[in-house]
Amino acid sequence: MIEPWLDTPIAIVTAMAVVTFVPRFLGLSFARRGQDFGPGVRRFLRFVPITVFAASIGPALVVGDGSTPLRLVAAAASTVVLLGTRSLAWGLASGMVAYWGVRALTSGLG
Amino acid sequence: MTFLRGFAAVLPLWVGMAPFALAYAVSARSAGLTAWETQWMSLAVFAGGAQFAAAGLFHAGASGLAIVATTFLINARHVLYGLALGEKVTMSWWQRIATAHMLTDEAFGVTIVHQRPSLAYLVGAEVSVFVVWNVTTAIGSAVALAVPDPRALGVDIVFPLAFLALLVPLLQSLRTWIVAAATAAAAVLVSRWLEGGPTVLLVATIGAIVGSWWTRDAEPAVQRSDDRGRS
Repeated sequence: MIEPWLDTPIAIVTAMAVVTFVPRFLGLSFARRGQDFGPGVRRFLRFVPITVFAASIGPALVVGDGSTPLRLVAAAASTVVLLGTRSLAWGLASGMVAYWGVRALTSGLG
Repeated sequence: MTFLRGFAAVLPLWVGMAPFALAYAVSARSAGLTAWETQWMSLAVFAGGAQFAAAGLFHAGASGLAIVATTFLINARHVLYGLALGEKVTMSWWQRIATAHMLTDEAFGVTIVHQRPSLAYLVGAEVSVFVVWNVTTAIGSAVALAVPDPRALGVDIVFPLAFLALLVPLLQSLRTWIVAAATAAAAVLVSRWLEGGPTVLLVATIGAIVGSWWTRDAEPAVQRSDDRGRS
């Protein structure tokens, strides 16, 4: 074993916990000086949630199998409802209904 | 009360998280981890994507170092969450330790889009995710028999829809829409070569840099209009 201290699942998982905690803690700690951030950094931080969500959504919709068109339809339906309602629950529900509805229709026809 | 509101804000996402914690537990058990090791990962690491990747790597017989390095890469995006949250919510060092441990995509998401994010709201959202993730891990670990693949059921559609529901209220100008669409498209391309975690870290960082540069002539646009729209 090259790394004998990492040879049991418990040790590996504990090391995973440490390397996961560090970026979580560092982000929160650096940001304590947030009041001193310049406008450029503030704009960057405003965009972080936007781009993180967008980057998480893209690959989860275009999955590279037959369900991609269905997922895009569900996302489009959900976006329309979200623009109207601004409600997380309604957005989720409409997307699910679109996804399952179109899936049931197309599999029924096929 | 604020704690309960944060806790409740995550409830709609439980329907998506529970099947995934079940699926994680089943894959971890089938990779040869014991029930306690499977649970320890949900308690101590508490990061869905990384736990799935680790279960796959354990199954493939990867080295401990490879598993830990992959985990770090996938979870490094939490730096961005912490930066964005820490700017809105002030906390002492021990509060940072507690909230850092339970920081997840979902808790970050519902807190950052809240009009007045607070420590209690953040902790409520975090505990909500922690509870559902760990309880369903325990259930999945115990029944690790024939839980169907969530992807085959289509339940995983909840994740992009949940992120969408968090994203749309933040899009207050044409430029934010364009940045979001371009970022999503870039992530689709990049994800062909990189794992999900590094893809989000890389593409989201570049997207946020481009977005902040593009809106440099309209400093308050993103957040101020958001406050006005919601208050």
